[in-house]
Amino acid sequence: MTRSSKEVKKVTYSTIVYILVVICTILSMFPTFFAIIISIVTETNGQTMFENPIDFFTGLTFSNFVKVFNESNIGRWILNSFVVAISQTILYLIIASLAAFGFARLKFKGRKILFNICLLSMLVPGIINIVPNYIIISEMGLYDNLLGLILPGLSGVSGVFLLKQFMDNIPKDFDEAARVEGATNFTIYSRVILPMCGPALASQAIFTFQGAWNDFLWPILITSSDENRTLAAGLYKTLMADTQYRGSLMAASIISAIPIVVVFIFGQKYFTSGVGRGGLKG
Amino acid sequence: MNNNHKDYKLKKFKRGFEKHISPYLFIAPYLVFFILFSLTPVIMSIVLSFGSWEYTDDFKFVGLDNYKILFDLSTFTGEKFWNSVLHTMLFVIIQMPILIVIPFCIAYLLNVKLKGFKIYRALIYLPAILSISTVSIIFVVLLDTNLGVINKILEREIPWLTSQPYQWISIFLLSTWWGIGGNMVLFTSGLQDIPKDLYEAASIDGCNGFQKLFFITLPSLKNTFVYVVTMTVLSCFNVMGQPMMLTPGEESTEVAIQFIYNTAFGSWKLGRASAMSIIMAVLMGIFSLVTLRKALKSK
Repeated sequence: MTRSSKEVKKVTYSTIVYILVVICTILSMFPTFFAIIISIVTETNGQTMFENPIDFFTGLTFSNFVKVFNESNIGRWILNSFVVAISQTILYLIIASLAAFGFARLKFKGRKILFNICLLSMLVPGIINIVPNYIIISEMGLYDNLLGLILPGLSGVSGVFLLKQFMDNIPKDFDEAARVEGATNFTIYSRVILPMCGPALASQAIFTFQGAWNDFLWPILITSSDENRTLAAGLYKTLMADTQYRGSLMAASIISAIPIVVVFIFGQKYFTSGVGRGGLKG
Repeated sequence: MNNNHKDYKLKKFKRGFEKHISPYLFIAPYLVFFILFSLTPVIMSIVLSFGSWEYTDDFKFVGLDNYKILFDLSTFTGEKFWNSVLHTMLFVIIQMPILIVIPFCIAYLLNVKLKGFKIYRALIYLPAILSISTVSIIFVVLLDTNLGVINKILEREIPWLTSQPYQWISIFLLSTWWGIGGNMVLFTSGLQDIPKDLYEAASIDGCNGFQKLFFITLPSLKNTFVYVVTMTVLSCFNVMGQPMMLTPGEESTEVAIQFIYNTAFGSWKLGRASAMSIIMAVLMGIFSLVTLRKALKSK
């Protein structure tokens, strides 16, 4: 093959790939694009703008967003979602890193058995826990309470597993050096190991935050009053109740997407690296 | 003399504490939540499945009655339950290949790493981070029979959300759009781990693109595939949001998890629902194992 025909082949290949990727991106953006479009025009113009594109420009408005904020508790739902997601993330990072340190670095009776039992819970599908957790949370008096949304999420083993694996890769020399200086276990945990777990902690934080923010089934079940709903649950009740005003509905969906998208923009590399963990490498 | 003795005892206590008690303090907080919300529920589900309870009355032990009713297709519950399982299986069988092949192809294309691909990757991934409520609202409006964008563009009046087979098609469309990003990112991560030397060596040996794909790329991604397949199967079995929000109340799209949820918290038949969830768990386990075996064999 001559050199120039190789180049031609490469350029053709690259062009085809590029076109395909652009097509995929456009298809992927299609629904969100129209969500935005419909949310920023008035209801009436939104219906006519397909026949008469000028109506889009004459109908530009923020009124749909204002309407959503006025006529529903979406502001409260967002606040609840933030409270639940942030609390759960912080609490989980603390207890999971403590447990991971215990399993990774400390020797005690039953360490292996306990850890394996915890791991086995990964095999149990979520549906098994729904009814019992509902009973447990109700008996604890946490029905229709934000704590009822936060606490059950702290029982997941994925973070403990991830952090333990990460800690296993930290050389034990650091521990030894600290112990020689008379450090307690907790000092080693807080001053030596934990600071080194930055990437793993960030990645787990995003994972937990996203899980809590988008959780759907559990908040629907556990909250009955509109004030205590999280975003996903509130939207569901809105959707079921009133599917008339397309502009408002799209505005609601855009509003609900903004926080998690902002988190994504700032924590992008942790989203993708966090998703790519767990049994892939090596 | 006394002081030294006290110091010595204190040090001994601290050492003993550090060695014997402190480890348990580290794992204790997590274990509390684990036992309360992960372990106990499993036991409770099993116990509940052998009984009958409607939350406001008393728990009655009924042995295998729940299972007998569920496995008897002539009963109302039995028929509805297995119908819903069938619907879930339909979703798994159709959606799973879509959610593996398409994301892999996209990740493969993006791996060519041309200019701007980082942005395109982020844009394709974006829908995956939204919540089911958000994406469902968007699709409900877009697929509206009279006012939806899709119908305006196609200039038809396709009843996307009100009659079959369009209802299932809508569910698949939504699930595809929503789910592609997650798996794509996993494949990207796996593809980036493949050392470039392998490809260069193959080029020198005269391999063309297809050969590289089959003999280098796919075998190297074996672990990734196993992980993606397992996770995708499990999440497909857990499908509930899409039918619930796109086609509420529609019987022909009611999936297993939906039916269990409605039985538990609509009809309050907690014993029956627990038995159903156990059957589902067993089914999921079997299906995962079978799929894993197949995936490991063919790759």
